[in-house]
Amino acid sequence: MCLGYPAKVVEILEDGKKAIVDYLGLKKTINVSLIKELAVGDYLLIHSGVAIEKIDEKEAEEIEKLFGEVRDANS
Amino acid sequence: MQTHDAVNNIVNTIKNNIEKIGRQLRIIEVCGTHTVSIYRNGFHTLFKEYIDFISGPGCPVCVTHEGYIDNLIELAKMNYTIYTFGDLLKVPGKSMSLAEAKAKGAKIKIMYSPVDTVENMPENEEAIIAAVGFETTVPAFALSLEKVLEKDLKNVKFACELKTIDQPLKVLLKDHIKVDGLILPGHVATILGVDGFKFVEEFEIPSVISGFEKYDILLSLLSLTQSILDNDFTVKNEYKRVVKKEGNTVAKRYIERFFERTDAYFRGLGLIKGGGLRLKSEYSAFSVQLKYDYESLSNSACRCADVLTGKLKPFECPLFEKVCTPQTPKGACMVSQEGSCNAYFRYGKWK
Repeated sequence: MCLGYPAKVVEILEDGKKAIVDYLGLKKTINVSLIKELAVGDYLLIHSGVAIEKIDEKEAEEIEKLFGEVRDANS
Repeated sequence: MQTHDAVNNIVNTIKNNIEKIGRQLRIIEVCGTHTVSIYRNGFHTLFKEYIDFISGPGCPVCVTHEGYIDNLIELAKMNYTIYTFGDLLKVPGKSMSLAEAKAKGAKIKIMYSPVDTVENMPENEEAIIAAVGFETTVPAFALSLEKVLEKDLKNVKFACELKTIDQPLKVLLKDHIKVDGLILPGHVATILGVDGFKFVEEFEIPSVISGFEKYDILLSLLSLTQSILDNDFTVKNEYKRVVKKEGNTVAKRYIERFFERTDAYFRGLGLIKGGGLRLKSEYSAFSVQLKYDYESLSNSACRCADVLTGKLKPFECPLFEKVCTPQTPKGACMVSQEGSCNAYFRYGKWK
C-alpha cells in the first residue's frame, strides 16, 4: 500500500491542482495539490493517485552515478 | 566492471563494519516495502551471518485487525458501497474477508486513488471509503474529503482506520524488541520529514531513513553500520532525493486540517494510545462510527502478532506454508504483498 512510483510531469492542468504525468510511457492524470512550484519536466513521487513529493534529480543522478547501471549488471 | 566494484566495496565495507562491531546485528525494517526489497534482492542471504532482519509493524494492511473488516462487512450489509484499496480484500475478518463478502454480492469496490474515487462517484450511491494507511496515505484521504466538501457531497463517509508511525514505534522499542538499528520508512518520512523521526534518537538506537531500491538499501546499511560503530544516534537520511528535513509541509497542513489523534488497535501490538487518526469533530458528519470488541480480537493459531514484534520468524509459525499461503491467508502478514510472511513465502530463501 505504501508503494510509490516516480513519474515525469508532462503537462500541468489549468487549475494547478492536477498534472498529466508519464510513467514508463503511460500517461496519467494525478493530483498535485501537495507540491509547491511545480514545472513541466519535474519528477514526482506518486502514491495513491497523489504526488507526495518532488524528486531531486541531482540527488537521484548522484546515486545512479555511484552505482552505474547496477540493475543491468546484476540482472 | 565499475558497477561491480562499487557494489562490492559497499558490501565489503558493511561486512567489515559488522566484524568490527563483533556480533550479528538485529536490524528492524519498519516498512513492509523494505521487507520486500530486502528479500527480493537477496540481502538476507548476502548478509546471512551478519544481519538478522526483523520485519516491523509498518505495513498498514498487516496491522489492520479483523474487527475493522467485520465492521466494513456489516456496513456493506446495510447497503453501503464500500470503497477499499485492493490490499485489504483478502484480510480475514472473523467470519469472512471483504473478497468473500464481495463474492456473496456485497457492494465492495476497489479504489486506486481516493481523490479520483470521490470525483467519479455515482450520485445515487451511499458510499463508505475505507481509509487505511500510515501518514504516507493520509494526505490522499484529506484531499478526498476536501473534494467532498467542495462538491457538497452528502453521500460519502469515511471509515477511518488510519495509523501514525511514532506511537507504535515507541511502544515497540520500549516494550517489545531489542534491536541494534532501524531502517525507517522512506515514504512516511516523505510526509513527516527527518524531523518527524527525531524521537527515535531518545531510544539511543542508530537509525536511517531509506529508499526502496537495492542501492538505497545498501547505502542505508552502510550508513547504519557506521552509526552503530560510532555509537551515533542521529537519524540519518539516505533518501535525500525525496525526503526533506521538514517533510512535505503542505501535506502536513492537510493532515492537521482534517485529522486528529485517537487511540488505535494494532494487530500485534494491541491498543496504542494516540496511535491513530480520526476526522476532527467538525467533520464528524463524514465519519462512520466503528464498533470494536477488542477482547475478542485474536486469531487463535495465527502468529502474526509474534511476527510483527520480532519474536518469531514467519516460518516458525505453525500455519506458515501449511494452511497459510498467499492464496489462503490466515493472517494479515500473509495477505499483504508487503507482509513479512508473504515476502518469506515468495522469496523462500530461508530454507
